[in-house]
Amino acid sequence: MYLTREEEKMHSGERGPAREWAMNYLVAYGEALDAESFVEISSVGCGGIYIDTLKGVPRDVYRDIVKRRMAVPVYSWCIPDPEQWQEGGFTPEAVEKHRELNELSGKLGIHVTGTCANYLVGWIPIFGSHVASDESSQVPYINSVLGARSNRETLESLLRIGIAGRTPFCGLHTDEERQGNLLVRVDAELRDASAYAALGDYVGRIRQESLGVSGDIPVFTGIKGDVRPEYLVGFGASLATTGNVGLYHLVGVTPEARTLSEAFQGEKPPEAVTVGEAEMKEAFTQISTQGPDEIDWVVLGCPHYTVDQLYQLSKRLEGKKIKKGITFWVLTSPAHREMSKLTGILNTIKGSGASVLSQCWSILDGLHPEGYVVAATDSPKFAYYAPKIWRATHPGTHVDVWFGGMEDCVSAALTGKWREAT
Amino acid sequence: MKGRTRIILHGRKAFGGVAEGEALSTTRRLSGSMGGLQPTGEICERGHELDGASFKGKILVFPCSKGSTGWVIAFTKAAENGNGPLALVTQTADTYTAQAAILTRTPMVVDLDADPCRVIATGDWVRVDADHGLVEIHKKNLQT
Repeated sequence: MYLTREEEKMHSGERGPAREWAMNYLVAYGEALDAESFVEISSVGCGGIYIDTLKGVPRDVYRDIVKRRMAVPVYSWCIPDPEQWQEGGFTPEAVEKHRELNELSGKLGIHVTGTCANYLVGWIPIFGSHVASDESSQVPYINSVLGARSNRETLESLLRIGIAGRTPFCGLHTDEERQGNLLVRVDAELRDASAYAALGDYVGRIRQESLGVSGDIPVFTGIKGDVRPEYLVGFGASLATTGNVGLYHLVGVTPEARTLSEAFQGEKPPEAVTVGEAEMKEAFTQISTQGPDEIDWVVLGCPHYTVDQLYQLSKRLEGKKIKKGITFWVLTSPAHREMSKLTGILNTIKGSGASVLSQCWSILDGLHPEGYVVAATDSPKFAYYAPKIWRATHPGTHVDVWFGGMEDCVSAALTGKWREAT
Repeated sequence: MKGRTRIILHGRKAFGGVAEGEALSTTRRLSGSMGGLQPTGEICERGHELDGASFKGKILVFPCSKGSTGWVIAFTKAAENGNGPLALVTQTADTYTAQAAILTRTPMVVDLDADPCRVIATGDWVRVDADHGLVEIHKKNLQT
Protein backbone atom coordinates (compact mmCIF):
# COMPACT_ATOMS: atom_id res chain seq x y z
CA MET A 1 0.00 0.00 0.00
CA TYR A 2 1.30 3.46 -0.86
CA LEU A 3 1.70 5.74 2.17
CA THR A 4 2.31 9.48 1.99
CA ARG A 5 5.14 10.89 4.08
CA GLU A 6 2.66 11.98 6.74
CA GLU A 7 1.04 8.55 6.75
CA GLU A 8 4.46 6.94 7.14
CA LYS A 9 5.13 9.15 10.15
CA MET A 10 1.81 8.13 11.69
CA HIS A 11 2.47 4.48 10.93
CA SER A 12 5.96 4.52 12.41
CA GLY A 13 4.84 6.13 15.66
CA GLU A 14 6.31 9.59 15.06
CA ARG A 15 2.84 11.08 15.52
CA GLY A 16 2.23 9.30 18.82
CA PRO A 17 0.91 5.91 19.89
CA ALA A 18 -2.73 6.58 18.96
CA ARG A 19 -2.01 7.31 15.29
CA GLU A 20 0.43 4.41 15.13
CA TRP A 21 -2.17 2.07 16.59
CA ALA A 22 -4.84 3.33 14.19
CA MET A 23 -2.59 3.12 11.12
CA ASN A 24 -1.45 -0.43 11.96
CA TYR A 25 -5.05 -1.53 11.69
CA LEU A 26 -5.90 0.62 8.68
CA VAL A 27 -2.90 -0.62 6.68
CA ALA A 28 -3.90 -4.25 7.34
CA TYR A 29 -7.49 -3.30 6.45
CA GLY A 30 -6.43 -1.54 3.25
CA GLU A 31 -4.26 -4.48 2.21
CA ALA A 32 -7.07 -6.95 2.88
CA LEU A 33 -9.33 -4.83 0.64
CA ASP A 34 -6.58 -4.55 -2.00
CA ALA A 35 -6.59 -0.74 -1.75
CA GLU A 36 -3.56 1.06 -3.17
CA SER A 37 -3.69 4.17 -0.98
CA PHE A 38 -5.63 6.10 1.63
CA VAL A 39 -8.07 8.97 1.21
CA GLU A 40 -8.41 11.76 3.75
CA ILE A 41 -11.89 12.13 5.18
CA SER A 42 -13.63 15.22 6.54
CA SER A 43 -15.87 13.70 9.21
CA VAL A 44 -17.15 10.50 10.78
CA GLY A 45 -20.82 9.59 11.33
CA CYS A 46 -21.24 6.71 13.72
CA GLY A 47 -24.57 4.99 14.27
CA GLY A 48 -23.24 3.11 17.26
CA ILE A 49 -21.82 4.24 20.58
CA TYR A 50 -18.49 5.54 19.39
CA ILE A 51 -17.08 6.37 22.78
CA ASP A 52 -17.69 2.79 23.97
CA THR A 53 -15.07 1.54 21.52
CA LEU A 54 -12.43 3.48 23.44
CA LYS A 55 -12.78 1.10 26.38
CA GLY A 56 -10.77 -1.70 24.81
CA VAL A 57 -7.79 0.31 23.54
CA PRO A 58 -4.29 0.03 25.14
CA ARG A 59 -3.66 2.57 27.92
CA ASP A 60 -0.94 4.56 26.15
CA VAL A 61 -3.14 4.80 23.06
CA TYR A 62 -6.07 5.98 25.17
CA ARG A 63 -3.97 8.68 26.87
CA ASP A 64 -2.71 9.85 23.50
CA ILE A 65 -6.27 10.07 22.10
CA VAL A 66 -7.28 12.23 25.06
CA LYS A 67 -4.19 14.39 24.51
CA ARG A 68 -4.36 14.83 20.73
CA ARG A 69 -8.12 14.30 20.22
CA MET A 70 -9.79 13.02 17.06
CA ALA A 71 -8.41 14.06 13.68
CA VAL A 72 -11.85 15.04 12.34
CA PRO A 73 -15.29 15.83 13.82
CA VAL A 74 -17.16 12.68 14.87
CA TYR A 75 -20.95 12.47 15.18
CA SER A 76 -22.28 9.63 17.24
CA TRP A 77 -24.96 8.57 19.63
CA CYS A 78 -24.85 7.55 23.23
CA ILE A 79 -27.44 5.82 25.35
CA PRO A 80 -29.48 6.31 27.38
CA ASP A 81 -31.17 9.69 27.57
CA PRO A 82 -30.70 10.56 31.26
CA GLU A 83 -34.23 12.00 31.39
CA GLN A 84 -35.87 8.80 30.24
CA TRP A 85 -33.78 6.09 31.78
CA GLN A 86 -36.56 4.62 33.90
CA GLU A 87 -38.99 4.39 31.03
CA GLY A 88 -36.18 2.90 28.97
CA GLY A 89 -35.40 0.23 31.54
CA PHE A 90 -31.85 1.35 32.37
CA THR A 91 -30.14 1.12 35.75
CA PRO A 92 -28.82 4.26 37.50
CA GLU A 93 -25.32 2.78 37.05
CA ALA A 94 -25.76 2.63 33.28
CA VAL A 95 -26.95 6.23 33.26
CA GLU A 96 -23.97 7.37 35.33
CA LYS A 97 -21.53 5.50 33.13
CA HIS A 98 -22.96 7.11 30.03
CA ARG A 99 -22.97 10.57 31.59
CA GLU A 100 -19.22 10.20 32.07
CA LEU A 101 -18.79 8.93 28.52
CA ASN A 102 -20.79 11.87 27.16
CA GLU A 103 -18.52 14.29 29.02
CA LEU A 104 -15.43 12.59 27.64
CA SER A 105 -16.97 12.75 24.15
CA GLY A 106 -17.33 16.50 24.54
CA LYS A 107 -13.64 16.84 25.37
CA LEU A 108 -12.51 14.81 22.34
CA GLY A 109 -14.68 16.39 19.64
CA ILE A 110 -17.12 13.50 19.48
CA HIS A 111 -20.56 15.10 19.12
CA VAL A 112 -23.36 13.12 20.72
CA THR A 113 -26.43 13.42 18.50
CA GLY A 114 -28.17 10.62 20.33
CA THR A 115 -29.29 8.88 17.17
CA CYS A 116 -28.29 6.24 14.64
CA ALA A 117 -29.41 8.66 11.92
CA ASN A 118 -26.84 11.43 12.50
CA TYR A 119 -27.62 12.82 9.04
CA LEU A 120 -31.09 13.84 10.19
CA VAL A 121 -29.75 15.87 13.08
CA GLY A 122 -26.50 17.65 12.44
CA TRP A 123 -24.11 15.58 10.38
CA ILE A 124 -24.65 16.78 6.83
CA PRO A 125 -21.74 15.82 4.58
CA ILE A 126 -21.26 17.72 1.33
CA PHE A 127 -21.85 16.17 -2.09
CA GLY A 128 -18.73 14.41 -3.34
CA SER A 129 -16.87 14.67 -0.03
CA HIS A 130 -15.12 11.67 1.52
CA VAL A 131 -16.42 10.68 4.94
CA ALA A 132 -16.67 7.49 6.98
CA SER A 133 -19.89 5.99 8.24
CA ASP A 134 -21.50 2.84 9.54
CA GLU A 135 -25.10 1.76 10.21
CA SER A 136 -27.67 0.40 7.79
CA SER A 137 -29.76 3.53 7.15
CA GLN A 138 -26.88 5.96 7.37
CA VAL A 139 -24.40 4.60 4.80
CA PRO A 140 -26.99 4.35 1.97
CA TYR A 141 -28.52 7.75 2.82
CA ILE A 142 -25.32 9.78 2.84
CA ASN A 143 -24.01 8.00 -0.28
CA SER A 144 -27.21 7.92 -2.32
CA VAL A 145 -29.23 10.95 -1.25
CA LEU A 146 -26.48 13.37 -0.18
CA GLY A 147 -23.85 12.08 -2.63
CA ALA A 148 -21.07 11.93 -0.01
CA ARG A 149 -18.73 8.94 -0.15
CA SER A 150 -18.26 6.19 2.41
CA ASN A 151 -17.84 2.45 2.43
CA ARG A 152 -19.80 0.34 4.89
CA GLU A 153 -17.56 0.96 7.89
CA THR A 154 -17.90 -0.55 11.35
CA LEU A 155 -17.49 0.70 14.92
CA GLU A 156 -13.99 -0.81 14.91
CA SER A 157 -12.84 0.89 11.72
CA LEU A 158 -14.54 4.21 12.53
CA LEU A 159 -12.54 4.55 15.75
CA ARG A 160 -9.25 4.16 13.84
CA ILE A 161 -10.43 6.30 10.93
CA GLY A 162 -11.47 9.08 13.34
CA ILE A 163 -8.01 9.02 14.94
CA ALA A 164 -6.04 8.86 11.66
CA GLY A 165 -8.41 11.00 9.56
CA ARG A 166 -8.22 8.63 6.59
CA THR A 167 -9.58 5.38 5.25
CA PRO A 168 -8.54 2.96 2.47
CA PHE A 169 -9.27 4.49 -0.94
CA CYS A 170 -11.41 1.87 -2.63
CA GLY A 171 -15.03 0.85 -3.21
CA LEU A 172 -17.56 3.67 -2.89
CA HIS A 173 -14.81 6.30 -2.50
CA THR A 174 -13.85 5.88 -6.16
CA ASP A 175 -15.79 7.25 -9.17
CA GLU A 176 -15.88 3.97 -11.08
CA GLU A 177 -17.18 1.88 -8.22
CA ARG A 178 -20.25 4.09 -7.80
CA GLN A 179 -21.63 2.78 -11.08
CA GLY A 180 -24.91 0.84 -10.82
CA ASN A 181 -24.70 -2.96 -11.13
CA LEU A 182 -28.35 -3.99 -10.86
CA LEU A 183 -31.38 -2.50 -12.63
CA VAL A 184 -34.79 -2.61 -10.96
CA ARG A 185 -37.90 -1.44 -12.78
CA VAL A 186 -40.59 -0.52 -10.27
CA ASP A 187 -44.04 -1.14 -11.69
CA ALA A 188 -46.04 -0.70 -8.51
CA GLU A 189 -47.47 2.16 -6.53
CA LEU A 190 -45.35 2.99 -3.49
CA ARG A 191 -48.10 4.41 -1.31
CA ASP A 192 -46.16 5.20 1.87
CA ALA A 193 -42.89 4.71 3.76
CA SER A 194 -43.64 1.03 4.42
CA ALA A 195 -43.89 0.34 0.66
CA TYR A 196 -40.41 1.82 0.14
CA ALA A 197 -39.16 -0.19 3.10
CA ALA A 198 -40.65 -3.41 1.71
CA LEU A 199 -39.19 -2.70 -1.74
CA GLY A 200 -35.74 -2.26 -0.19
CA ASP A 201 -36.05 -5.50 1.77
CA TYR A 202 -37.09 -7.35 -1.43
CA VAL A 203 -34.32 -5.96 -3.64
CA GLY A 204 -31.64 -6.52 -0.98
CA ARG A 205 -32.33 -10.26 -1.23
CA ILE A 206 -31.85 -10.54 -5.02
CA ARG A 207 -28.08 -10.90 -5.36
CA GLN A 208 -26.13 -13.56 -3.48
CA GLU A 209 -22.70 -13.34 -5.09
CA SER A 210 -20.10 -10.84 -3.91
CA LEU A 211 -19.78 -7.62 -5.86
CA GLY A 212 -16.63 -6.44 -4.13
CA VAL A 213 -16.11 -3.67 -1.60
CA SER A 214 -18.87 -1.48 -3.09
CA GLY A 215 -21.44 -4.28 -2.92
CA ASP A 216 -24.76 -4.09 -4.74
CA ILE A 217 -25.55 -0.76 -6.36
CA PRO A 218 -29.17 -1.10 -7.44
CA VAL A 219 -30.58 1.45 -9.87
CA PHE A 220 -34.32 2.01 -9.72
CA THR A 221 -36.55 3.33 -12.48
CA GLY A 222 -40.28 4.01 -12.25
CA ILE A 223 -40.19 5.78 -8.86
CA LYS A 224 -42.81 8.49 -9.22
CA GLY A 225 -44.40 11.24 -7.22
CA ASP A 226 -43.42 12.82 -3.96
CA VAL A 227 -40.33 11.00 -2.62
CA ARG A 228 -39.90 12.14 0.97
CA PRO A 229 -36.63 11.91 2.88
CA GLU A 230 -38.36 9.68 5.44
CA TYR A 231 -39.21 7.17 2.71
CA LEU A 232 -35.55 6.91 1.79
CA VAL A 233 -34.39 6.58 5.40
CA GLY A 234 -36.30 3.32 5.77
CA PHE A 235 -35.64 2.28 2.16
CA GLY A 236 -31.85 2.35 2.64
CA ALA A 237 -32.07 0.60 6.02
CA SER A 238 -34.03 -2.24 4.42
CA LEU A 239 -31.69 -2.58 1.43
CA ALA A 240 -28.72 -2.74 3.80
CA THR A 241 -30.41 -5.28 6.09
CA THR A 242 -31.13 -8.04 3.60
CA GLY A 243 -28.42 -6.99 1.13
CA ASN A 244 -24.86 -5.80 0.86
CA VAL A 245 -25.76 -2.22 -0.04
CA GLY A 246 -24.09 1.12 0.66
CA LEU A 247 -25.34 3.02 -2.40
CA TYR A 248 -28.38 3.00 -4.66
CA HIS A 249 -29.57 5.30 -7.41
CA LEU A 250 -33.17 6.42 -8.05
CA VAL A 251 -33.25 7.66 -11.63
CA GLY A 252 -34.56 11.20 -11.74
CA VAL A 253 -34.43 11.54 -7.95
CA THR A 254 -30.96 11.04 -6.46
CA PRO A 255 -28.04 13.28 -7.48
CA GLU A 256 -25.79 10.79 -9.26
CA ALA A 257 -28.67 9.44 -11.38
CA ARG A 258 -30.26 12.34 -13.23
CA THR A 259 -30.61 9.86 -16.10
CA LEU A 260 -30.41 6.09 -16.45
CA SER A 261 -27.23 6.54 -18.47
CA GLU A 262 -25.60 8.57 -15.71
CA ALA A 263 -26.43 5.88 -13.12
CA PHE A 264 -24.55 3.33 -15.25
CA GLN A 265 -21.84 5.85 -16.19
CA GLY A 266 -22.68 5.57 -19.90
CA GLU A 267 -22.46 1.78 -20.02
CA LYS A 268 -25.29 -0.47 -21.16
CA PRO A 269 -27.53 -1.30 -18.18
CA PRO A 270 -28.05 -4.97 -17.30
CA GLU A 271 -31.41 -6.61 -17.93
CA ALA A 272 -34.00 -5.19 -15.55
CA VAL A 273 -35.62 -7.04 -12.67
CA THR A 274 -39.26 -5.93 -12.51
CA VAL A 275 -41.01 -5.37 -9.21
CA GLY A 276 -44.76 -5.19 -9.79
CA GLU A 277 -47.76 -5.39 -7.48
CA ALA A 278 -47.36 -9.20 -7.09
CA GLU A 279 -43.73 -8.86 -6.02
CA MET A 280 -44.63 -6.06 -3.62
CA LYS A 281 -47.25 -8.32 -2.03
CA GLU A 282 -44.63 -11.05 -1.66
CA ALA A 283 -42.21 -8.49 -0.22
CA PHE A 284 -44.67 -7.53 2.53
CA THR A 285 -45.55 -11.14 3.32
CA GLN A 286 -42.02 -12.49 3.63
CA ILE A 287 -40.98 -9.83 6.15
CA SER A 288 -43.52 -11.04 8.73
CA THR A 289 -42.94 -14.31 10.58
CA GLN A 290 -46.68 -15.08 10.22
CA GLY A 291 -47.29 -15.96 13.88
CA PRO A 292 -50.53 -15.51 15.87
CA ASP A 293 -52.38 -12.22 15.29
CA GLU A 294 -52.73 -11.22 18.97
CA ILE A 295 -50.30 -8.30 19.41
CA ASP A 296 -48.29 -7.56 22.60
CA TRP A 297 -45.83 -4.98 21.40
CA VAL A 298 -45.68 -2.25 18.76
CA VAL A 299 -42.33 -0.81 17.65
CA LEU A 300 -42.11 2.25 15.40
CA GLY A 301 -39.06 4.35 14.63
CA CYS A 302 -36.33 1.96 13.48
CA PRO A 303 -34.55 3.97 12.03
CA HIS A 304 -35.47 6.85 14.33
CA TYR A 305 -38.63 8.77 13.47
CA THR A 306 -38.43 12.38 12.34
CA VAL A 307 -40.68 15.10 13.73
CA ASP A 308 -42.93 14.78 10.69
CA GLN A 309 -43.38 11.05 11.30
CA LEU A 310 -44.18 11.85 14.94
CA TYR A 311 -46.75 14.34 13.66
CA GLN A 312 -48.32 11.74 11.32
CA LEU A 313 -48.49 9.34 14.23
CA SER A 314 -50.04 11.92 16.57
CA LYS A 315 -52.84 12.50 14.04
CA ARG A 316 -53.67 8.79 14.14
CA LEU A 317 -53.51 8.52 17.93
CA GLU A 318 -55.27 11.77 18.83
CA GLY A 319 -58.00 11.14 21.42
CA LYS A 320 -57.45 7.37 21.30
CA LYS A 321 -56.17 4.86 23.83
CA ILE A 322 -53.83 2.00 23.16
CA LYS A 323 -55.36 -1.30 24.23
CA LYS A 324 -54.47 -2.32 27.76
CA GLY A 325 -51.54 -4.72 27.98
CA ILE A 326 -49.91 -3.56 24.77
CA THR A 327 -46.49 -1.93 24.92
CA PHE A 328 -46.13 0.80 22.31
CA TRP A 329 -42.69 2.24 21.58
CA VAL A 330 -41.86 5.11 19.29
CA LEU A 331 -38.14 5.65 18.86
CA THR A 332 -36.68 8.98 17.82
CA SER A 333 -33.70 11.26 18.28
CA PRO A 334 -33.44 13.81 21.12
CA ALA A 335 -33.62 16.71 18.62
CA HIS A 336 -36.78 15.50 16.93
CA ARG A 337 -38.37 14.55 20.25
CA GLU A 338 -37.67 18.08 21.46
CA MET A 339 -39.27 19.59 18.35
CA SER A 340 -42.35 17.44 18.88
CA LYS A 341 -42.51 18.63 22.49
CA LEU A 342 -42.59 22.30 21.47
CA THR A 343 -45.70 21.91 19.36
CA GLY A 344 -47.65 19.51 21.56
CA ILE A 345 -47.23 16.50 19.27
CA LEU A 346 -45.34 14.63 21.98
CA ASN A 347 -48.14 15.05 24.51
CA THR A 348 -50.74 13.85 22.04
CA ILE A 349 -48.79 10.66 21.40
CA LYS A 350 -48.06 10.10 25.07
CA GLY A 351 -51.73 10.72 25.91
CA SER A 352 -52.60 7.55 24.02
CA GLY A 353 -50.33 5.52 26.27
CA ALA A 354 -47.37 5.25 23.88
CA SER A 355 -43.77 5.75 25.01
CA VAL A 356 -41.68 8.13 22.90
CA LEU A 357 -38.10 7.12 23.59
CA SER A 358 -35.11 9.03 22.32
CA GLN A 359 -31.52 7.80 22.18
CA CYS A 360 -32.81 4.25 22.26
CA TRP A 361 -32.85 1.61 19.64
CA SER A 362 -35.48 -1.05 19.44
CA ILE A 363 -33.09 -3.83 20.32
CA LEU A 364 -30.93 -3.21 23.35
CA ASP A 365 -29.98 -4.40 26.77
CA GLY A 366 -32.13 -2.14 28.89
CA LEU A 367 -35.30 -2.89 27.01
CA HIS A 368 -36.18 -6.37 25.94
CA PRO A 369 -39.26 -8.54 25.77
CA GLU A 370 -39.66 -11.58 27.97
CA GLY A 371 -41.17 -14.93 27.07
CA TYR A 372 -43.22 -15.25 23.95
CA VAL A 373 -44.04 -11.91 22.33
CA VAL A 374 -45.85 -10.92 19.13
CA ALA A 375 -44.70 -7.56 17.78
CA ALA A 376 -46.03 -5.23 15.10
CA THR A 377 -43.67 -2.86 13.31
CA ASP A 378 -43.27 -0.63 10.26
CA SER A 379 -39.57 -1.55 10.08
CA PRO A 380 -38.32 -4.51 8.02
CA LYS A 381 -34.99 -4.09 9.78
CA PHE A 382 -36.58 -4.65 13.18
CA ALA A 383 -38.61 -7.56 11.78
CA TYR A 384 -35.43 -9.15 10.44
CA TYR A 385 -33.34 -8.89 13.60
CA ALA A 386 -35.86 -9.09 16.46
CA PRO A 387 -36.57 -12.84 16.23
CA LYS A 388 -32.88 -13.70 16.69
CA ILE A 389 -31.20 -10.95 18.69
CA TRP A 390 -32.10 -12.23 22.16
CA ARG A 391 -31.61 -15.90 21.36
CA ALA A 392 -28.21 -16.05 23.07
CA THR A 393 -28.58 -13.32 25.71
CA HIS A 394 -32.15 -13.96 26.89
CA PRO A 395 -32.97 -17.64 26.43
CA GLY A 396 -36.71 -18.26 26.54
CA THR A 397 -37.48 -15.08 24.64
CA HIS A 398 -39.23 -15.73 21.36
CA VAL A 399 -40.43 -12.93 19.11
CA ASP A 400 -42.85 -13.17 16.20
CA VAL A 401 -43.24 -10.06 14.05
CA TRP A 402 -45.90 -8.54 11.80
CA PHE A 403 -44.84 -5.88 9.32
CA GLY A 404 -47.03 -3.16 7.84
CA GLY A 405 -47.51 0.59 7.59
CA MET A 406 -47.88 3.07 10.45
CA GLU A 407 -51.65 2.83 9.94
CA ASP A 408 -51.64 -0.97 10.38
CA CYS A 409 -49.46 -0.73 13.49
CA VAL A 410 -51.72 1.89 15.10
CA SER A 411 -54.78 -0.20 14.30
CA ALA A 412 -53.11 -3.23 15.92
CA ALA A 413 -52.28 -1.16 19.01
CA LEU A 414 -55.88 0.03 19.39
CA THR A 415 -57.59 -3.31 18.76
CA GLY A 416 -54.92 -5.76 19.93
CA LYS A 417 -55.16 -7.64 16.64
CA TRP A 418 -53.08 -7.61 13.48
CA ARG A 419 -55.10 -7.15 10.34
CA GLU A 420 -53.47 -7.16 6.94
CA ALA A 421 -53.88 -3.98 4.98
CA THR A 422 -56.23 -4.44 2.05
CA MET B 1 -7.58 -38.01 2.65
CA LYS B 2 -6.27 -40.81 0.45
CA GLY B 3 -8.34 -41.51 -2.62
CA ARG B 4 -10.12 -38.17 -2.55
CA THR B 5 -10.05 -35.85 -5.56
CA ARG B 6 -7.68 -32.98 -4.92
CA ILE B 7 -8.24 -29.47 -6.28
CA ILE B 8 -6.03 -26.43 -5.74
CA LEU B 9 -7.33 -22.88 -6.06
CA HIS B 10 -5.09 -19.82 -6.25
CA GLY B 11 -6.07 -16.47 -4.85
CA ARG B 12 -4.99 -13.57 -2.70
CA LYS B 13 -4.24 -13.30 1.00
CA ALA B 14 -6.63 -11.04 2.89
CA PHE B 15 -5.19 -12.10 6.23
CA GLY B 16 -2.27 -14.48 6.71
CA GLY B 17 -2.00 -17.87 8.40
CA VAL B 18 -2.52 -21.55 7.73
CA ALA B 19 -5.40 -23.79 8.80
CA GLU B 20 -7.06 -26.99 7.74
CA GLY B 21 -10.35 -28.66 8.50
CA GLU B 22 -13.78 -29.54 7.27
CA ALA B 23 -15.62 -27.00 5.13
CA LEU B 24 -18.96 -25.38 5.85
CA SER B 25 -19.94 -23.90 2.52
CA THR B 26 -22.78 -21.83 1.10
CA THR B 27 -23.50 -19.93 -2.11
CA ARG B 28 -25.58 -17.46 -0.10
CA ARG B 29 -24.36 -14.36 1.71
CA LEU B 30 -24.17 -14.40 5.50
CA SER B 31 -25.77 -11.93 7.85
CA GLY B 32 -23.96 -11.44 11.13
CA SER B 33 -25.26 -8.53 13.11
CA MET B 34 -27.69 -8.81 16.02
CA GLY B 35 -27.92 -12.56 16.27
CA GLY B 36 -27.20 -13.52 12.66
CA LEU B 37 -23.98 -15.10 13.90
CA GLN B 38 -24.59 -16.31 17.44
CA PRO B 39 -21.80 -16.28 20.10
CA THR B 40 -21.99 -20.10 20.00
CA GLY B 41 -20.92 -20.08 16.34
CA GLU B 42 -24.42 -20.88 15.16
CA ILE B 43 -25.73 -19.26 11.98
CA CYS B 44 -29.22 -17.93 12.46
CA GLU B 45 -31.34 -16.78 9.54
CA ARG B 46 -34.86 -17.84 8.65
CA GLY B 47 -34.82 -19.47 5.22
CA HIS B 48 -30.99 -19.59 4.85
CA GLU B 49 -29.55 -22.96 3.81
CA LEU B 50 -27.12 -22.82 6.76
CA ASP B 51 -29.74 -21.78 9.34
CA GLY B 52 -28.86 -23.67 12.52
CA ALA B 53 -25.43 -24.85 11.31
CA SER B 54 -22.30 -24.05 13.35
CA PHE B 55 -19.10 -22.64 11.87
CA LYS B 56 -17.11 -23.47 15.00
CA GLY B 57 -13.86 -25.17 14.01
CA LYS B 58 -14.78 -25.15 10.32
CA ILE B 59 -13.34 -23.61 7.17
CA LEU B 60 -16.16 -21.16 6.43
CA VAL B 61 -16.80 -20.67 2.71
CA PHE B 62 -19.32 -18.02 1.57
CA PRO B 63 -19.62 -15.25 -1.04
CA CYS B 64 -19.55 -12.18 1.24
CA SER B 65 -21.27 -10.49 4.16
CA LYS B 66 -24.59 -8.70 4.19
CA GLY B 67 -26.67 -6.73 6.65
CA SER B 68 -25.95 -4.31 9.43
CA THR B 69 -22.54 -3.14 10.55
CA GLY B 70 -22.56 -5.15 13.79
CA TRP B 71 -21.30 -8.10 11.69
CA VAL B 72 -17.76 -7.76 12.98
CA ILE B 73 -18.87 -7.51 16.63
CA ALA B 74 -20.91 -10.71 16.30
CA PHE B 75 -18.10 -12.60 14.58
CA THR B 76 -15.50 -11.41 17.08
CA LYS B 77 -17.67 -12.46 20.00
CA ALA B 78 -18.02 -15.99 18.64
CA ALA B 79 -14.24 -16.16 18.11
CA GLU B 80 -13.51 -14.83 21.62
CA ASN B 81 -15.69 -17.62 23.00
CA GLY B 82 -13.58 -20.15 21.12
CA ASN B 83 -16.38 -20.72 18.63
CA GLY B 84 -14.91 -19.06 15.56
CA PRO B 85 -14.08 -20.75 12.26
CA LEU B 86 -10.54 -21.93 11.46
CA ALA B 87 -10.33 -19.88 8.26
CA LEU B 88 -12.44 -17.78 5.91
CA VAL B 89 -12.67 -18.35 2.17
CA THR B 90 -14.84 -15.77 0.37
CA GLN B 91 -15.32 -14.62 -3.22
CA THR B 92 -13.90 -11.16 -2.47
CA ALA B 93 -12.98 -9.27 0.68
CA ASP B 94 -15.51 -6.78 1.95
CA THR B 95 -15.28 -4.29 4.77
CA TYR B 96 -16.86 -6.61 7.34
CA THR B 97 -15.16 -9.88 6.47
CA ALA B 98 -11.74 -8.22 6.17
CA GLN B 99 -12.03 -6.67 9.62
CA ALA B 100 -13.44 -9.86 11.14
CA ALA B 101 -10.32 -11.70 9.93
CA ILE B 102 -7.92 -8.98 11.13
CA LEU B 103 -9.44 -8.63 14.61
CA THR B 104 -9.61 -12.38 15.26
CA ARG B 105 -6.40 -13.23 13.35
CA THR B 106 -8.30 -15.75 11.23
CA PRO B 107 -6.58 -16.72 7.96
CA MET B 108 -8.56 -15.50 4.97
CA VAL B 109 -8.18 -16.06 1.23
CA VAL B 110 -10.13 -14.21 -1.47
CA ASP B 111 -10.17 -13.52 -5.25
CA LEU B 112 -9.62 -17.19 -6.16
CA ASP B 113 -9.35 -18.44 -9.75
CA ALA B 114 -12.65 -20.33 -9.40
CA ASP B 115 -15.75 -19.66 -7.31
CA PRO B 116 -14.97 -21.30 -3.95
CA CYS B 117 -18.67 -21.46 -3.05
CA ARG B 118 -19.31 -23.77 -6.01
CA VAL B 119 -16.07 -25.77 -5.89
CA ILE B 120 -16.08 -26.42 -2.15
CA ALA B 121 -18.97 -28.38 -0.63
CA THR B 122 -19.81 -28.75 3.03
CA GLY B 123 -17.87 -31.72 4.36
CA ASP B 124 -14.90 -31.37 2.00
CA TRP B 125 -11.50 -31.34 3.70
CA VAL B 126 -9.81 -27.99 3.02
CA ARG B 127 -6.32 -26.68 3.70
CA VAL B 128 -5.97 -22.88 3.61
CA ASP B 129 -2.50 -21.41 3.19
CA ALA B 130 -3.41 -17.75 3.28
CA ASP B 131 0.20 -16.58 3.21
CA HIS B 132 0.53 -18.02 -0.29
CA GLY B 133 -3.10 -17.46 -1.30
CA LEU B 134 -3.68 -21.21 -1.70
CA VAL B 135 -6.75 -23.31 -0.99
CA GLU B 136 -6.34 -27.07 -1.29
CA ILE B 137 -9.55 -29.07 -1.44
CA HIS B 138 -10.03 -32.80 -0.91
CA LYS B 139 -13.51 -33.59 -2.19
CA LYS B 140 -15.75 -35.69 -0.02
CA ASN B 141 -17.95 -36.74 -2.94
CA LEU B 142 -16.75 -36.96 -6.51
CA GLN B 143 -20.13 -35.83 -7.80
CA THR B 144 -20.19 -32.47 -6.11
